[in-house]
Amino acid sequence: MKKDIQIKELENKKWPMTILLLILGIAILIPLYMAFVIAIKQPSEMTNDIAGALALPKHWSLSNFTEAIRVTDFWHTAGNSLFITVCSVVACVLVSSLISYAIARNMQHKKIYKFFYYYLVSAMFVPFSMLMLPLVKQMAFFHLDNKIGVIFLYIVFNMAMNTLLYVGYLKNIPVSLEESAYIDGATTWSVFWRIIFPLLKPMHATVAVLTALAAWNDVLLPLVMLSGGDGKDTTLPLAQMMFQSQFGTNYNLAFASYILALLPILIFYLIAQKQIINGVTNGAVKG
Amino acid sequence: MKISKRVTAAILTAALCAVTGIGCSSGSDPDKTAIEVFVFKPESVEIFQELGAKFEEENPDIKVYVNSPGDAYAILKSRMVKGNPPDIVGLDATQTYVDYAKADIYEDMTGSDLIKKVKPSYVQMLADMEGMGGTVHAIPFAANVTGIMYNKEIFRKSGLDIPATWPELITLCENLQSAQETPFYLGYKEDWTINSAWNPLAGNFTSADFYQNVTDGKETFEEAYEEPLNRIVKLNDFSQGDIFSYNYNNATVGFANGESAMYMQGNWAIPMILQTNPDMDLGMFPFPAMDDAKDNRLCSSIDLMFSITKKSSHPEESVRFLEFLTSQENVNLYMENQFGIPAINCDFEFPQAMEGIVDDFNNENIVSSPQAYYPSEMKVPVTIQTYMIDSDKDKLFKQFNTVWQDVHEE
Amino acid sequence: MKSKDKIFMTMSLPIIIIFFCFHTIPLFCGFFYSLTNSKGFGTYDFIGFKNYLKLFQNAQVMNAYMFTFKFAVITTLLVNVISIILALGLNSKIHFKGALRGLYFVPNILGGLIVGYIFNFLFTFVIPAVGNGLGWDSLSTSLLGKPETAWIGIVVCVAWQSIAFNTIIYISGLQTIPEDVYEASAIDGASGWNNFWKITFPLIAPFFTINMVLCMRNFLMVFDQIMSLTSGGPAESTTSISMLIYKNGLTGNQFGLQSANSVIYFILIVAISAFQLKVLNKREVQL
Repeated sequence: MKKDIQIKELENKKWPMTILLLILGIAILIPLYMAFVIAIKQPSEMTNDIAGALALPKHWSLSNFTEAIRVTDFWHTAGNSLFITVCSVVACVLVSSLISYAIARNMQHKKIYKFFYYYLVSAMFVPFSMLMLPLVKQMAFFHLDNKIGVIFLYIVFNMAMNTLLYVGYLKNIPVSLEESAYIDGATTWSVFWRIIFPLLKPMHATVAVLTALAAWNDVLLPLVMLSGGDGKDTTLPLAQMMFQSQFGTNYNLAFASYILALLPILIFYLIAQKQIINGVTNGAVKG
Repeated sequence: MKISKRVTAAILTAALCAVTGIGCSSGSDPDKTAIEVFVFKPESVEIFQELGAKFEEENPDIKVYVNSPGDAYAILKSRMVKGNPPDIVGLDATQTYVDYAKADIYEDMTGSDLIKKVKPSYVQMLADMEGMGGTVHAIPFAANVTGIMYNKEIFRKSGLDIPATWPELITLCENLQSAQETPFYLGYKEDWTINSAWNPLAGNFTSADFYQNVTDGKETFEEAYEEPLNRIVKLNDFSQGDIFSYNYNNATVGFANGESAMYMQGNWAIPMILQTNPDMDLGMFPFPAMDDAKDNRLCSSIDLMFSITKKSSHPEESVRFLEFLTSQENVNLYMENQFGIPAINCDFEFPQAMEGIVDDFNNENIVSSPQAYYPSEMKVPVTIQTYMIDSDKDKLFKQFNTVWQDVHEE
Repeated sequence: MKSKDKIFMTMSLPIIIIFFCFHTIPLFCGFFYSLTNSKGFGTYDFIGFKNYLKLFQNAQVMNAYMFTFKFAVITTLLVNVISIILALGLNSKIHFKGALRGLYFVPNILGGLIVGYIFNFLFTFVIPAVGNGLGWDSLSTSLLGKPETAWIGIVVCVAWQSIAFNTIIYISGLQTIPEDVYEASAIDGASGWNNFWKITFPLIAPFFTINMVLCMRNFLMVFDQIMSLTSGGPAESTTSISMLIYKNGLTGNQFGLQSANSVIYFILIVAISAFQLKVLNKREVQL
């Protein structure tokens, strides 16, 4: 009887908060709606008033999308972006979790690992613009001014944030799990692969989403590394820069293209979302 | 757990395959010579790709890559830093080009067969700009003109004539305002649009050796720019209002939709105006900057010019491409597509919208745009934008003078 | 045991070396250029600390620092307050939890440049129209058109985008709090407000610390959104330090001078972050 009342109370609580959050969600939706409306309009339907930004077009047409696909060479450039993003994500997850494990398990009692930790994490505060030109020179010298080089640099540049996240999370994973494995005669490598790596799943999801977002949307690094030659390495954001010529930006085409670029990463996030939130809980509570 | 490991392994294998695959597929067509053409105007990429394909057809031994990225100046610099500049570089007339020319990056074009195809006034303009004893390092290809575009329909309706002098322009604006029309749509949120009014004003009020004289201390910005500054600020009274809230796009759309009678811009704005309003009856006339119509000159600059880099491993093929590009037929193809004006000597028919400037252009009654002489650190449009907001003339001249001295003492 | 140490070293050393080559070496190069009058290409001379002196005399540079700090402090506070409130809402018992969390994350998926373009339309056309309709004079013209108010537009736009990710971190923080803590306090008759300050906030304090530090660092480096919203105008009132370094250093000709600017900027960001960590960590311990 008492339990029933409690459940009822809980259920009563749900709706006002839901409605409040839905109303606040409008603040998220209005700008997105604007992007969508502009994406389906023709340049001749753009006017300098509120209707130009918000009114629906007279004729619905997806021609901007097909045109955007053609102009940006979408399948090719998105393919490049996807390749760079997927490789960066996989490499970041592997490399960062590995070194973070070494750091997290040793930094308490070994100065050198503590130094590694602060060395890597402090890189977060270096402005990219300071490294850019020297880096361009260096990468060209090693013949790494291509897709592979860009992936390589994403690993390096995301290292700071990823190490911070992984080490923080690893501190919450009890060592007792590993110790029993060591007693059974396992090596450090196998402990990492069999026990730690799977336990890090929620952090993998977080790191993957962050790295994917950083790589997929990035303009500056591909801009200075990939430009030139036959342009076969061009990424989608680079191709999209064509819309922003100083003398007249075709926002209709540009927004259609941005919406197309948004979809793959949105799907990826929706898949990863559950892992991120649920996973962080599990790990932290156990600690 | 086992599954996730397998998935990881699969992804890794796939990634590795892709990596090795990429490694193999590069270097297609080994018997063809590839040249890279870098153009700073992303809006012209399609016509250049078209021209490139046409060239490849006529020259089967050469492959042309057109590279026309956004933020071209940043890219070009990173290419120079890398030490592998493109074979052909297409830029506009700014001090950035001059810096590269002075750093000995381009081939000298002085007296070449190619430069003989160019109208002498533009060769002279380029030589003045480089200021290195008459040498030139580029082939001017397209020119631009900055003037005033107008809506012929509104002019007809109110029975207005094209102004030839500054006082006439002011009277015209006042008449428009009393007829409830907005004279100008100003998009000064984007500071570079201020150049469209500033270049004709400052250009008409100074002579070609003004900049050298400033360096030598014989003339000052304070004296020469007093009147242009007063005039450019005066024009703000005839705008749609709230001028720093609207950018180039907004202003172009506003003018195209008939929200203003006139629009200060260059010929590059025409494609977008006609895209927004294909039925518009569009005209253009030279900016009447002076009090006497005789003194008034049309403001023009080099819009696109091509240089061949010294590091190019295919200088011969690059010259062949430029010869192809500067032929009568191909010049016209480009100009028609981009609403450009040729800097090359050739038969050319101005599009109807530009009729009003043909006389001045053909008579070479032209003044070079001062923009070409300003070092980028001087940030002229931003400084004028700031002046329009805070009316602090001393600050403006201090900024101009400091940068000018800084750059020219080295 | 010794082999374990060796394995940990093999895990970390190669990565540290790569990091040194592709991050630290370019950083040193950047520092070297700050002592020259390099334009980024061509020949240059060694000029000692002249650039640093020039920097402090340059009004434009000083203005950029003032704007960037004002912007970063205000946005950091705003984003964190709103994110905590949203996280509490999204973590409470509501309908469509997954969908709502997905919706609130969407802004983070879009690139900064794109968000700037969308908000440009919003500030130029939609908000003035709404302001006129309501008869509010201060909103009847675009915020971005006046030097006194343009920064507000940038705060709103950046906050809109950044709240998403911070909310996710706070949600995972909230999920680390076990239910029974609240049950215990319910027995004591604590109200919602008290609950928050006495239980919730202290327990998510580590998440608060990391969010504050990351926000501050991100906002001090703000670039994309300003580029597409105002490109630093009007009258340079919204030029951030990153923009200045990029515009004058890379596109312009002050590569040496702006390298010096980057060095100062880097030192400042590290100092601020270290200070934040110290203060916030101290408070965490006290609670």
